[in-house]
Amino acid sequence: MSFGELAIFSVTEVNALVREIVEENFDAVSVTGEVSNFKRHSSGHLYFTLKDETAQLRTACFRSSARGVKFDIQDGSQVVAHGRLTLYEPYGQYQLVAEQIEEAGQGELERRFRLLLARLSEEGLFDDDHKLPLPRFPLTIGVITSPTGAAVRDVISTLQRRWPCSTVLLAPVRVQGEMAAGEIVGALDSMSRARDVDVVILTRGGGSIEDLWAFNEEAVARAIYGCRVPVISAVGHETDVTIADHVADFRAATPTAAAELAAPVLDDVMASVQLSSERLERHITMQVRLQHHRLGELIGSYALGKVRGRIEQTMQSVDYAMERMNVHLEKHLSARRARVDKSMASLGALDPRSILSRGYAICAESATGTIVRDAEAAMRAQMMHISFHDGGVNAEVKERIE
Amino acid sequence: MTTKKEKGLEESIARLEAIVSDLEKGEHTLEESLLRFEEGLALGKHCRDILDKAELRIKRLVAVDDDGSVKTEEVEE
Repeated sequence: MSFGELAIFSVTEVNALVREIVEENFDAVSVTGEVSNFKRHSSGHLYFTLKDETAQLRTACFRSSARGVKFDIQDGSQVVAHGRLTLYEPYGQYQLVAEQIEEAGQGELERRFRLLLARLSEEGLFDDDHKLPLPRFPLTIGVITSPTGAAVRDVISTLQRRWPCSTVLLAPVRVQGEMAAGEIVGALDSMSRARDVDVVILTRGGGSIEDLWAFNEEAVARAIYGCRVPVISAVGHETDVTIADHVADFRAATPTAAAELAAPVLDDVMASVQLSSERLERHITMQVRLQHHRLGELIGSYALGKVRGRIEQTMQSVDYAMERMNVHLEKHLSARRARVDKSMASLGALDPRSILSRGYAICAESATGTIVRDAEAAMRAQMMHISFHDGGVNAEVKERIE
Repeated sequence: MTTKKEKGLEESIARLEAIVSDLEKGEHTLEESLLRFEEGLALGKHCRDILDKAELRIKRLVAVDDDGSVKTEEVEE
């Protein structure tokens, strides 16, 4: 090939051409390597070289993208840079324009997180219909967390303030590092098997994705899923949502919020119990009054002197019972109850209808209506009205039998 | 912690609330009402006894037996 036949480009033209080819072919690329020659320009742009054992790549990260870098990038950082390739024409040097930079390990954890999240979601571990309801009044609250962190103090002080009648069953575990997941799984299993645990709080304070990693482990997710006691998860800050948070029956933003979710306010519950007791007392008093009123009506409907006196006595004893009920409602409950029972029983026996239906009759002088109590009076009366349970007859007195 | 025989707070409050609303329907004889009243009062007292404990207890979980009973140790806080 003879070069003489080819067009001659200027340097500018060549660089422009190469830039075009590079940009067209590498408009989205992720490159991993170690940062060196790191410079943060006063304009906010970052310049550094990505390198591995055998090669280097110039990298620029402009201010708008640089703001999104979430970690302390410096020489020696292992990173993954996502961006596009271009050519810096003045120097004829190709470079990576990074739009996103993350720590290398971080990227890997993110990837694992997303994969596990998708898989467990597919499997149904986050399904709402598997989630357990919270008890309204938990007396034993399991707490799985580090015994030394701020989280355990927040949970305990919140429970002490809101719901001091409860017991905290603390399962101390490591919440980060290699041993953490295994310890958390063990603690969840214990809480699940323990007879009296009403609800479990699984918590730790904020940290990096590595710090929180135990809460993204599959074994922990499955232990939460299998826990027979409702689990409230509060891991990291509000913006960190771990897999544990997804599987848990409830999620709270902070340890304090988890404790507030778990426990009601004592004073509210106390007031509600008190209200129920008062409603009970009000109702029973009302019902006794109603019975009392019915007795009154019964007396009104039977003008039967002797019986009437005894009914009145019975009424008095019901009155007395009522009074006792009002005054010493709690103290003398069983004594009062026995008294009322007795009153009601004797009342039944005194009901004129029941006496008459047992075969007794009541005789009254026809002329005056006076009750006839003896043979003498009957002879005097001559005509008598005899009351039966179902009505009366008039009768004539014929002779006295000795 | 509640023993097996003792009714839990959850159950007691639920039963108390059920008794109150049942009584207030007014469908019972005095005798039946008194029985419920008596049970309700006892439940109210039982609940208050539980709620009256003013000091949060903190125990460290040591082990759980096969029957679900829990071994604990005291935590000084």
